[in-house]
Amino acid sequence: MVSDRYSVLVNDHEFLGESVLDEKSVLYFREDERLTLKSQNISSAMVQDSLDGLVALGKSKDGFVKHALRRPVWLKILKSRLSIDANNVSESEKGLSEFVTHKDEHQVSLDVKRSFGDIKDDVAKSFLRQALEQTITKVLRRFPQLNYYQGYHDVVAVFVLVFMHTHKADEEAELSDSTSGTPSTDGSDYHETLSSSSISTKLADDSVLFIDSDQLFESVMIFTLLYLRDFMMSSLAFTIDQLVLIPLIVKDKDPRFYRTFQLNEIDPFFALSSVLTLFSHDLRPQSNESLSIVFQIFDLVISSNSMMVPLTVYSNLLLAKKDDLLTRLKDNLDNFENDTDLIHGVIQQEMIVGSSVQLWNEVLETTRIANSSSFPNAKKTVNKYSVLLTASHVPTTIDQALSWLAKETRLNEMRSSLESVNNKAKTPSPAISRWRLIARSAGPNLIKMSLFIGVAAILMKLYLRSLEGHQVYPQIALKSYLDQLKSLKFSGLNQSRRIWLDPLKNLLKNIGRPSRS
Amino acid sequence: MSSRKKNILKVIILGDSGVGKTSLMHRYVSDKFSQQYKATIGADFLTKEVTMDGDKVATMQVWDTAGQERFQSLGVAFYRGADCCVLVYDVTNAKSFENIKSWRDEFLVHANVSSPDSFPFVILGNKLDVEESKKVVSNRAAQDMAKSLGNIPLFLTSAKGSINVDTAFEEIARNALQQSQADADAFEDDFNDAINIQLDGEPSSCNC
Repeated sequence: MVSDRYSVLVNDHEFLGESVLDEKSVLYFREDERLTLKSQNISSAMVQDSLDGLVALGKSKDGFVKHALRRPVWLKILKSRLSIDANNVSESEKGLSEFVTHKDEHQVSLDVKRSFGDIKDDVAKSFLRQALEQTITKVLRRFPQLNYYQGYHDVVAVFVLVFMHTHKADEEAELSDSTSGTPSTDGSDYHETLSSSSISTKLADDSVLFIDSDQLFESVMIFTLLYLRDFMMSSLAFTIDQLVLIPLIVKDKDPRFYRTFQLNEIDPFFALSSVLTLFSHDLRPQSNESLSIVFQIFDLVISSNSMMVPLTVYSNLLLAKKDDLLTRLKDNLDNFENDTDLIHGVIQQEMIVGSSVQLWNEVLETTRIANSSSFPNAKKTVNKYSVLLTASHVPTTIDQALSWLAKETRLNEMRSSLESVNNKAKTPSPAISRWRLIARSAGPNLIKMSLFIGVAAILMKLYLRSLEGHQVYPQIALKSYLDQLKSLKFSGLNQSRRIWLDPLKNLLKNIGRPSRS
Repeated sequence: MSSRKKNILKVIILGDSGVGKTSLMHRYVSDKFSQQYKATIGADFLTKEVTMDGDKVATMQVWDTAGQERFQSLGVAFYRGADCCVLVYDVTNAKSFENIKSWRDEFLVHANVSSPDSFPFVILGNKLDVEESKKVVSNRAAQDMAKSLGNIPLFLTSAKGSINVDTAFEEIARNALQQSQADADAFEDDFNDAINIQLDGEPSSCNC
């Protein structure tokens, strides 16, 4: 829910959701029972060490329910996907890398300063910002090959909120920050153990905020290496490759809407902030709302091990808002300079801001049911080492993840240098840039197409030559054409070694002649 | 080709990260300031109805962009059809001032405007409200640069303190309107030429 009236009281028990009792208490109790039951199930799956159980629970309604459960569950699932060998990075290396600043740290601090703006308590706000900056900086210094992007801080901020917990100084039991308002009634609740790496701050009312910074860092690091690599190249190219899948998913499900809404015509940049941040930029997560949509989206990504989730959620949201979007499109035809602005504007006005919690829940449910972990078209659109394709090779090691990262980085550099050559050759006209975009989004297809044209040209030439010999009887021409095709496979055998001078000409020299037989 | 029925003035705000682009847009459009603006990702826009010279009504569409360099490649999509480009620097940040020229060049490369020499820019030096000791860009240096880039109008503003923002945007609107009309005239000229050839000089009945 996005509204201006958030009052985040991190120093207060009130935020546990008691206010809900007044209005819709019947609904509340039923939901409360359901959530309590689910929490118990998650806890016992934790105790039983059942990864499959946890994954299934994360993929079902309400995700992992509350932050107290999310913390251990996210960490457990993520660590099962990417094993971190503590000895992998030697202590000296670790120590060294932590002192070498990353090129993007200035940008990080600019963005951190503008984070957690909704948190009212100044002490809490600066504590969260400190944790955010430390975590991002640590990841970047550890992996200097990553490029920071605006929006990465929104993703990490979600982790910071999840890993933060509140604790009253005079209380023995840990305060649960669930929405259920009935902490510790569920007997099997999983209990976290605090490690020595906790950072904490005391608020004005003596309550204490904790974050286990090692656990936070570990989760963010694995999440980054497994799911955010495409976004952390030096250019946006691989991000755009992912965005291009949104119109394709929509086309699959509703070709008519795809055409009427001109999704075939414009670049899907409208989805950029949602996809780059897994919706955390637009949905502005609140620390006190464990059930808010954005946390559930993260639950779904982590449990289904797939970055198709944000793309599918976005597509499903477009489809769910189809009628509103089309109405707004009609109403605004005269209000924009061009079609790109029109679609971008209509979506911006309608999608995120105008979507109710209920609608979001429906969209998430649709996404969960459809099990969207793979999309056949993804292979054609994204690079071979994209997070969308490597997920199937999980569980993996940190070395493997870093090798994917290195390969992606190389592919990205190759593409960038190719583009800059193109740019130098000609200032892009809209038509050309569109073509380039198509080429970019359909790289492998384009190669296939040019190969096809090449082969077709050879066949055509052969056919024309056979016609030359048999102008009167087309059937004979066809036969000799087929003969020539047969001889094609032996061509080149008797060629001189300098075939590279003009391979095609040499190839055609003998076999192109009318058959001598 | 779709003709524009409404008078839309498309304005693009560019500048380094954190100079106050989003704040300026919100101050102008809704006369608000908040410490809670997040970093912009991609592009957002707001619109405002403007009246100029007493009678001319237009809709100004202000497009706010991300400051991080990696998002510049999206420019091609967002700059198209712009009528004025606002270049923003932060008076407490020398680097953001030095980058003004490259933001202008970057815009001209990607916007594909018909006549780059006459395309209107306006420069805003923002955060004027901060204490004197923190200001590192002198007014003199700013004026010199504005002049050297082709007499671009310069305003020192504060989105937070609501200083000069309305005045600056009035100038932006005037420039945008002029540019928009010049573009429309150029289009009409081409159009009329085409008609003249066919209809042998029959006078155009459209006087809109």
